[in-house]
Amino acid sequence: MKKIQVILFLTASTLILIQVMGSFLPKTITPLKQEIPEGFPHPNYTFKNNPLTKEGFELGRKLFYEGRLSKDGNFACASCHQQFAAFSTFQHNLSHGYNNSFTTRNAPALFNLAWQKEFHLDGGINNIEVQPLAPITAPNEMAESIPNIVNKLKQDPEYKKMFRDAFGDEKITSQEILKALAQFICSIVSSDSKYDRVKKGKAGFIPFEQRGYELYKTKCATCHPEPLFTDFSYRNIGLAVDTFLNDYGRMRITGNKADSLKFKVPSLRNVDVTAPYMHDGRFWFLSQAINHYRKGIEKSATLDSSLANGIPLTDIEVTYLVSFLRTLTDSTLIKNPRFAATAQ
Amino acid sequence: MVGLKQFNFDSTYTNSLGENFSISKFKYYISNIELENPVTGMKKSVPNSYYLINESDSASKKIWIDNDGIGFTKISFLIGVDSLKNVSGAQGGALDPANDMFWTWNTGYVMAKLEGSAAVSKQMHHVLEYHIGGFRGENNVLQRVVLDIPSQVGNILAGKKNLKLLIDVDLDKWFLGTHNLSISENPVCTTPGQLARQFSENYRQMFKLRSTSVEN
Repeated sequence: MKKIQVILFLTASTLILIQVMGSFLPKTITPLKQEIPEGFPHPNYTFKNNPLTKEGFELGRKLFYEGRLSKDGNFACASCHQQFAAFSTFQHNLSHGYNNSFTTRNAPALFNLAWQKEFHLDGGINNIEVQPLAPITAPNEMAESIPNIVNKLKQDPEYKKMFRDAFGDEKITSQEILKALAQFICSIVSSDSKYDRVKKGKAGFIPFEQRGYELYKTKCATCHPEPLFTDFSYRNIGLAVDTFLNDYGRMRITGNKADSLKFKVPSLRNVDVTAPYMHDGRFWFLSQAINHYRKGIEKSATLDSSLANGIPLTDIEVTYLVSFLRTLTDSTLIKNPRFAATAQ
Repeated sequence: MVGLKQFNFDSTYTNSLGENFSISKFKYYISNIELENPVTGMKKSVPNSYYLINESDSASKKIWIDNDGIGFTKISFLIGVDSLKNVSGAQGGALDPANDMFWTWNTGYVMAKLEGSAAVSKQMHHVLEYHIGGFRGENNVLQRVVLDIPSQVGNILAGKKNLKLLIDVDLDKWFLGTHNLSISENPVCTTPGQLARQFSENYRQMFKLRSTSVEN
């Protein structure tokens, strides 16, 4: 007679753990220091349990541009996160995934992620290390399984070498893949825009930009405070529900009605190169996004209280604001060869 | 087992609510094992004790732990993965997301997974599918199971003796324990929330110590 059994063997003798050291100890681990720009707060992700090294970073960079993390080989992380668009999808409201599918949200730009506590526009991911599991396994994104990507990478001698160099063994596990990716994406720091140079006294705003900065401080900074230009909160900014996507945002994660239609406040850094805007990419131009706050707010029970009457701005003030927002483009970051694909 | 009947993946069972069902997948985590002797006050937490029990893998159903020579009369464990490991990034071993017990879009481990079919299910192909998880606040499904070990057995653990505990897991309790959760009314539960918590309050009653034996 068979039964479901959990058999627990308890031993009274002391177990001797024999730890077999990997035969390939990393020869030349090169520690890297986390970049924390002047004036930035203490980061949330500090590489404490994932020591940042040149080898780990380089492995993460290769994985970020690796098509084999997707089912058909076409969709690397970088296919939706393009460097020249500050690692968002250039000029796409929704991105493209496996088998001619669309994603369900506008791809977020990737920078200063070490300062974020939660990921995705609904905050469903609580640690950057496990974020890549979502796009890798989503059937409309990379459509692959974790065991499959591990097996594919194990077939490649170059990866064997890179994992050995970064982690001291050739095992190749999902944990190592995710830690390497975290080393790369958490190293992407944006802090060298014209705005940053003005703050350091190395450049000056032209009058339109200066007026825009003053307006930003009174009209936008509550939700998009310096220096990260987001407070990382979740807010309903009065966007009418798209009846095809029916996306209610954070409520899907918390199950709480009070979170209906709330999405994470994105950073305004690099906003000019991350069009289109909003969680579903419904606005193609910065001026349209700003105009939404002026006269497009749709009222609902969870509308952010600061937007009950919209944000009053004149037409010329919109122009000033756009001029300022363009100073937040970090052209060093979007051209930095350190974050580009390596030559194959 | 299901009620008093033995369990097989290819058999049909009847739960105490009179519903026929069969099971194709049954996996759950056991973690944070603790041994305790209330008389001596001794308590031992077994470090890094994370086990994925997979009903279709007999090796996964045998767990070896070390009691450091301490006699004890209680053993307890969590069904599921503690909240700390749910928020600490990429894990390996039993907690590797490749084990298909991890929610990728709303971070967290599936603590227990039961899949199969039942004629009373109105879902497509009459499936029943339970992915029970959630570790925050009122959606927390972490349950600690405490089993008493007869003191004449637990206290003789000295020297080099091994104690074998045979634990029965009664699937009938999944549906009828603290709560009456019929398959016809609840064929699917795959998100954290009140229903998931009720299932967890039921399945914590699955575990019963059947027998103990002392081996050299």
